Amino acid sequence: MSRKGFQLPRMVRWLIKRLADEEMLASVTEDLEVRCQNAAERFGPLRSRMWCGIHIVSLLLSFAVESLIWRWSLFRSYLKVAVRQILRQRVHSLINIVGLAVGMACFILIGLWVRDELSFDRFHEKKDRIFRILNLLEDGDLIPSPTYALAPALKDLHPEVAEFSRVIPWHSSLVKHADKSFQEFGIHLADPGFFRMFTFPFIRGNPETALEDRHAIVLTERAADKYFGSEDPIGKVLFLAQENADFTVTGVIADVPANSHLQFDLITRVELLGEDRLARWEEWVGPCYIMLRPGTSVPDFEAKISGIYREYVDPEATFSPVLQPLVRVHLYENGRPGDVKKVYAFSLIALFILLMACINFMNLATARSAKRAQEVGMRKVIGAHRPQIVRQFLGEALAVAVVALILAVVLVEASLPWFNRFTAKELILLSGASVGTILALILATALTGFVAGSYPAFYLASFQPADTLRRHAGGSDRASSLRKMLIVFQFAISVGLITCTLVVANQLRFIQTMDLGLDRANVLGLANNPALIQRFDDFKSALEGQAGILHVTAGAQIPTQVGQSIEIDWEGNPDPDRLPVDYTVVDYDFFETFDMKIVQGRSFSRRFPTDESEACIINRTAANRMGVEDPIGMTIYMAHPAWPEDFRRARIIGVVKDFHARSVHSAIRPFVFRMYKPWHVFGFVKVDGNRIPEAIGHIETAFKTFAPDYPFQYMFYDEFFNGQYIKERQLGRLFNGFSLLSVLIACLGLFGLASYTIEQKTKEIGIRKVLGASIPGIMTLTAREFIKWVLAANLIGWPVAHFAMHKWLAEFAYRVRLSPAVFGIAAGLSLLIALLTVAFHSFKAAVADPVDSLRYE
Amino acid sequence: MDMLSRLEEILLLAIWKLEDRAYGISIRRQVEKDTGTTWMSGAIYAPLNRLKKNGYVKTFQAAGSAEKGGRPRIYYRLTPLGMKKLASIQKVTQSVWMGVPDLKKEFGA
Repeated sequence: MSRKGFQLPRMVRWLIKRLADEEMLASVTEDLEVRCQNAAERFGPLRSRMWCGIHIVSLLLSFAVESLIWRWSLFRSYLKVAVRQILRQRVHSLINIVGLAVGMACFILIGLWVRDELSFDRFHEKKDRIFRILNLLEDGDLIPSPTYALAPALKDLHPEVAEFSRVIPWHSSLVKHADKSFQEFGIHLADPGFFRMFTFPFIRGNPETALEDRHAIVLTERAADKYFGSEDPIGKVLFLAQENADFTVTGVIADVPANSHLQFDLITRVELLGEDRLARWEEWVGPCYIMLRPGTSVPDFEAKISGIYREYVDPEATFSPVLQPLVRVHLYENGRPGDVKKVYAFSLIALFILLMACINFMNLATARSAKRAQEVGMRKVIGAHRPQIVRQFLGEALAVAVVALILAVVLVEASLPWFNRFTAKELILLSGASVGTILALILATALTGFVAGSYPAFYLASFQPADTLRRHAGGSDRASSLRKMLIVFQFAISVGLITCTLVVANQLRFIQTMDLGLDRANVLGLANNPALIQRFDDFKSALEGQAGILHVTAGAQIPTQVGQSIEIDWEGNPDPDRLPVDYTVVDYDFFETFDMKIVQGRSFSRRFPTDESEACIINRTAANRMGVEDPIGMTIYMAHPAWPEDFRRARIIGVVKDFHARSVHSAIRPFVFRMYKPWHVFGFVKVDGNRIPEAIGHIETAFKTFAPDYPFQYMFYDEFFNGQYIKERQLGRLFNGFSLLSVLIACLGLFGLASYTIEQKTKEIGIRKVLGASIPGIMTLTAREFIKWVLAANLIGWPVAHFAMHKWLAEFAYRVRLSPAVFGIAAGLSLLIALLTVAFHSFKAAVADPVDSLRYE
Repeated sequence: MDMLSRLEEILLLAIWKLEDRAYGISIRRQVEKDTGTTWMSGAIYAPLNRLKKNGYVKTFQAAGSAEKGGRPRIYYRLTPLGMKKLASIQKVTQSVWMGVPDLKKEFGA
C-alpha cells in the first residue's frame, strides 16, 4: 500500500479529490509522507506499513463522514425551507398533495394486484422443471386437454420425464365422516407424482407416498378441521357417496395459498374415474403436468414427443403436444395471453393515473409561477445560482411527494378491504411490508417527486431577475398553452372512461333483459345426488301438485351454460363431415319448466315410452343447418364413446325455438336434446312467484324424504345466471372506479388552473363591472374558455372510446349498438362537472369588489 | 450563521498564529502543541476542508522548502470572513467564561 516513494495509491488519490479537492490532496500527501516516514523509523518496515495503511483509511473515513454530515444538514435546511413554502400556500399545496396522493394510492393498489398476479405458482420449488401439456392444433390454437393416456405414456417412453400427474379438478361428491357430511365440489383427482412435483407443505404425512394407495385421500388443514375437528385425521376414513367407497386419509397439507392456480381442499387418485377410461387415447379431457429431469432441453423434448399422437391415436393427426411452463399457466390460460392482457392493461392504467397526477402537479406549479417569480428573481440577485434554485424547487416537490406518500398509504390501507373483496384476493400493504416493498415505495415517491417537480423547477429557475422584479411575469405563452393541452388531455381521458362505463352498463343491462329463449324467473336449481337420481320420479310425483310447485325436471347441465359438444350424422347429409352440435340430456317437463317453445312436433312425453331411449329434440338452428324443413321423424347418429351402439341413434320428435345455450359471447349453435337419466346432475323446479317460501318448504320435505343423507342446498337460477357474467360485471365496476378517479384528478387540476386563470383576469373583470356588467354575465365570460377546452377534450376522447368499446363489444355475438346517446351523455356530464369546478372561482371573481381588483398595482 | 465546532475554532486560531507559515504539517503540529495530544490526519484535514468550503480559510501557493525540491506548497490563511468569525467566537468565549475563576488551580487539569 504505502511506498517510500511517496505516492498515495491511485484509488485513494481519486477519493480525496472527490471528497475534497486537489489542494487538500497536496497538503494531505505531504503530511502523510512525513508521518509514514516517522513510523518507518520508529516501528519496523512491516508494522509501519500497517500503521500507514490504517492511517490512510481513517483519513478517508473522516472525509467521507464529514461530507455526509454536511450533505445531511444541507438537506435538512432545504427541507425546512420547503416545508415553510408548503405551509405558506396551503390551498395550493393541499390540492397538490391530494392529487398526488390519489394518483399514488391508485398506483400502489394496482401495483399490489399486479405483483400478486405475477407471483402465481412461484412457491413450488421445482417450478422450473414443471410443465403443463397443451395440444397444439393445426390452426395454431392451443387447448389444455390432452388425453388421459398421454402423461403416463410419456413417462414410460421417455427417461427425460421424472414425474407426471393428471389433475382433474371438477369431481364432486358427498363426503362423510361420522356425523359430518358435506357436498364437496372441486375434489381434485391426481396421480402419485402430484405431491412429488408440486410443493405443498405436509403437516402430517409424507409427500412421496401420500397418493400411492388407490383409496388414499389428502386433505388441507381447512378440510381436516371441518371433518375431524381436533382429532388426528391420519388413518381415518372418509366416505365418498359418489363412488360409494371409503377413502383413507394419508396426509394433511397446509391450506393452498391464494396465488396457486391449483385450488383444492381434498385430493385423491384419478383412478376413481375408472381404469379403462384412463387408458384411453381418444377422450380429450383435462389438464396434465409433467416434471422433466434437470438439464433437459425443452425444445428438444418437445420435438421428440411431437409425433406421439400420430403413433397412438391417428396417423393423420395434425396436432401435437407442447409444454407450457408452470409459472405461465395462470396468466396464459390456454397457452395464449389470457389474464396477462389484464395485467398489462392495468399496469398501463396505473402508470397513466400516476402520470396524470404528476401532470397536475406540473400544471399547478407552473401556473403559480407568477407568485414565485419575484422570489426567484430576488434570490438570483443576492447570488443564488440556477442549480441551487432548481434544487430548492425539486426539494419542495419531493417534500410534497413524501407527504402525499403518507396520505396515499393511509388511503390504500383504508380501501384494501373493499379492493380485496372486489378482486377476490388477499392483498396487504403495511402488515406484510417486506424490504422490497418499502424500497419500491421510496423509489416510487422519489421518482414521482422528481418527475413532477422537474419541469416546474427548471421552468421557475430560468426566470431572469430583471423581468420578474419589474412586473409579475405570468406564464409565457408557450407554458400556458402547454397547460391547456394537459387539462384537455386529462378531461379527454375522463370522457373516454365515462363513455366506456356507460357502454359496459348498457351491454350488461341488455344481457339481463334480452330474450334468452327460455324463462329463468322463479326457477330453483338443485344439485342432484346418486340417491335422488335413483328416485327422481318419486321425488317428482311427490312434488307435483303441491302448492307453489309448477314444474319439476332435471338435466345434465344448466341450460345457459352448456359445455358439451358432439358430432352428428344423418341420412342424406350432403356434407361428408359430421355436423358439430351442442347437446345435453334432460328429463320430462324440461321445456315446460323453462318455458321453451316447441315449434314443431312435440316435447318428451311419458305417453311415448320409447322417448327415453330413442327420441331427440333439436333446435331450429340445427334444423336449418341440416337443410331440412321438417326434420320430424328423421334419425340422427351421435357418436358418443360412452353410449352403446343402439343408443347412439335417435329419432327427431320435435324442434324447439332457438335459445342461448352458452353465454352471449357465442352465436347460437345447433343443439340436440336427449334423455339419459344417469347424467341428470341438476334438478330444476319452477315455482309460483307468489308462494316461494311454501314451495321451498315442500321441496325440502321431498328432498329429505328421498335423499336424507344429503344436505339440502339450492340456488335460484337467476343468481346463477348473473354469476356467469361476473367478469363483465367486474369490468363495469372497474371502469366506474377509474372514471371517478380520473374525473377527480382532472377536476383537481382544473380547479387549481381555474383559480390562476381567473386571477389573471381580475383587472379585466373589475373594469367590466365598473362598466356595468352583471354577475351572471361575468361568470359566463370566465366559464366560456373552459367550455371550449372541455369540448375539445370530448372530441379527442370519443374516437378512442369508440374504438375500444367497439373491440370489446365485438366479443359478444349478441350486443347493443354503440349509440351516439352515450357520447352525448359523456359530453354533457363532463361539461357539467367542469362548470361546477370552475364555478367557485368564477363566482368569487364575479362578486369581487371592483375597487379591490383595480387597486392592484 | 452557525456555530463552529471546537476543533474548527482551534484550527482557525492555529492558522492565525502561524501567520504566513501555515501549511498542512505545520498546522497539525501547532494544534498538537496547543492541545497537548497527537491528532490523526483525518481529524485535522476534514475540518480544514470544511473551513475552506465555507470560506473562512483560503489557500495560496508559495515555494516549498528545500527538502521538497522547491516544488510549490499549499499554504492556508484566514479570510476576512474567517477573521470576523474568530472575533465573534472570541466574544462568545469571553462572555461565556466571564467571571469564572482559575479552575486549574482548584481541580487540576
